[in-house]
Amino acid sequence: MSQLLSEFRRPELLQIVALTLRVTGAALLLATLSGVPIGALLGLVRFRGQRVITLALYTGMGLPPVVVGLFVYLFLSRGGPLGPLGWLFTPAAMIVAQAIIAFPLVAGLTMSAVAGVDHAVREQVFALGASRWQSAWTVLIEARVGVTAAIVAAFGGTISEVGAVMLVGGNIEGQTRVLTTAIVLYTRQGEFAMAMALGVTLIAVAFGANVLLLRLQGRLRDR
Amino acid sequence: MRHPQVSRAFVLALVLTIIAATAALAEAQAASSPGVLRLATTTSTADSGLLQAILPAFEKLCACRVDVIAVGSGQALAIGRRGDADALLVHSYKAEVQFVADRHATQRHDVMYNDFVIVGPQADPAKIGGKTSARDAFASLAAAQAPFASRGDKSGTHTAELAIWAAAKVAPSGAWYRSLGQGMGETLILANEQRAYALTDRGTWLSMREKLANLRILVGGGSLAENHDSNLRNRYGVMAVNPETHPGVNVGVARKFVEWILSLETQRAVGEYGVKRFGQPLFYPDSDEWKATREVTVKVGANARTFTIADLQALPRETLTNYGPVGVKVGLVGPHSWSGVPLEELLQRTDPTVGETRHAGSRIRLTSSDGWTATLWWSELFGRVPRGAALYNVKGCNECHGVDGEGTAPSGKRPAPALARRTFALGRVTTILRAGRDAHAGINPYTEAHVSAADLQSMLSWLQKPTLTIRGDAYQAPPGRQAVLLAFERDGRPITGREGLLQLVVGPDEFAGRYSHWVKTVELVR
Repeated sequence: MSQLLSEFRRPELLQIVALTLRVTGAALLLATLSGVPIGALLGLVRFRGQRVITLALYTGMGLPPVVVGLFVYLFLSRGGPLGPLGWLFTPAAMIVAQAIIAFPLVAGLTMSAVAGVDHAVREQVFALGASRWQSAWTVLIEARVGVTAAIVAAFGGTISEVGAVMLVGGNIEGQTRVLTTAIVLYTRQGEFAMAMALGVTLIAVAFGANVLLLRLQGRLRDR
Repeated sequence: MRHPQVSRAFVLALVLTIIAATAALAEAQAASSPGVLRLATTTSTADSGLLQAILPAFEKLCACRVDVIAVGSGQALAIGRRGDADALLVHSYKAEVQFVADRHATQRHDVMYNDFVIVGPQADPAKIGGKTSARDAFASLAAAQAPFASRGDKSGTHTAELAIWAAAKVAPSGAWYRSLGQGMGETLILANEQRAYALTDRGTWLSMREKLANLRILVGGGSLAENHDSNLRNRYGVMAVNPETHPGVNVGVARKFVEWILSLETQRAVGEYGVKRFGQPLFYPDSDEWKATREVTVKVGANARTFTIADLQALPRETLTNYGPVGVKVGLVGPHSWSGVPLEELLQRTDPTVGETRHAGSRIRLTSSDGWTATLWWSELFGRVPRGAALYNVKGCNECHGVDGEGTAPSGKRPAPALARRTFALGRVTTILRAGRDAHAGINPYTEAHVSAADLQSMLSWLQKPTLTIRGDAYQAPPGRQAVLLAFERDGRPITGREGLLQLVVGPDEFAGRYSHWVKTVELVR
């Protein structure tokens, strides 16, 4: 136990946590900014081919992260179409992969939340003379609990993901080593105390981030 | 209907995203800048802590950052094949040679080695403990169907394992053979848990030994010196990815890295790593530069001897004072005082008959680890033979008439008569030689510059009685020839650093100026 505690004092721990939050945070913001509007649109509007898109989104929610990692790897590799960017084995590649993993979760769950808003609300808003954008915004506000849940789910999915970031990031010390890949490394080396310390940290970070998000959700709900 | 708080949150989110995206872009830019070396390597070099110990010196030297991507050798080579790494440090010799053959790299260099050992449960149910051959041990494991944990990941260790199975003529399969597709650490941990056998590199074993209480080394002994199976040798190679086939790679830094890791200082650091903690090195330096400077191999005919630095220091030494070889950059090598072993001494100790006249006309070739050669004439060192004999050989008469004038008909050459123990008229011989006619028709004329009348007289008188006994007129090597040194000290201090520990220094006279460093072999050639 004392050994476990001393592992927390390792200087690299803080750096790994910081990088994890930066990568997951950036990926989550990208996924939220693209996923929430698209999810809301799909929840509000009816059009041809919508079912196909919905199906694709739901499939995407269950997409194996390591497959996403493989595709991103091949795209960003020097031999791939985006090779000249030189993003492979950098945090940028990890952000791209995690954003792709998070996007279907955000969009799909937002769509469900928006679709679940009472039709009466929308009609009421229209009756009050709101524009299309205003009414969409209002419906989104009504669905805020579900939308926050979508973001929380996406956060949990990305911060705990290991296969894709290992592939595209390369687990480079000080550059692309995040909590999950570090846990894999230390377990491989038989340094279970350090692996455990990182695991506890990961859970704590996830817990803390969820508390923050839920408090935001709570504040929104209380209004 | 506006929700100011939510709007504020939205704006905040937007700002944060822009910051994050900018940061990500900046980071990506930094990663592809010339200041970064992407090194794809095996898990063993990283997990053992070696790279962490030695890389800071390189990062300081090149003012760059090294991104270490530690994966199996198979994956590291695959990363290199796509041009996603600038340099590779791996241990899968055949695959490395193929990598070069496929032009993904122009050259592969030996860097270091260690060895593989076979570990297994303390109780050793398959009774392989004490076997000296990995092949026999594997055959016993297969016969006993003893649980075996294989990396199964195309890594260097996995490749080595498969080669041993092939040598044992076993195609491993069945429930006892567990192909994991995992790294070395995971494989050892699993073997420890399941009381299975496994092949591991000694470095990873040593660094994890405390956590593997159920396992012990069964084949390979307690250190590399006790490992007698050459199939268990584990060689690491380094390659810079070829910029011609992969234009995106950072070739400048990659080449610097290759040069650096092969250099003496780095090699020494490699050899010292882990000694304090484990009582033995985890890796043994193996670069050409390192090998060349630890020992020199001397070959005379079928005789060959290897002298280590310690051997050389124990031999009688000569010192050449205040001397700087000509033809070398000023300041690089002199003037200094050089101490070392006369080359003659080394050759004599390798083959006591090296001074015999039959070797006259031979050359002494010194080869450096970087391929550079320097050449000396045999006569420069062993001139204390009858002058006529030395001249006869140096001037090439031996080519057709035999080293002792016995006459020969070598294949591809026209038969030449025996000259030994015969009396010739000087005037007649001079005419034939100078004009290249009669018996010498078709042979390049020997002018006065080639062979003086006095030289010719010496040769002819020697041929009348061709022995090595010196009767008055001896061919004396120019003075200072004892100062043809294989030097290991400069200005009283051991030669270190990039110049290599062993340097050829040729003393001050008309033969001087030849200089060579990193001397690896000294060979008498015809």
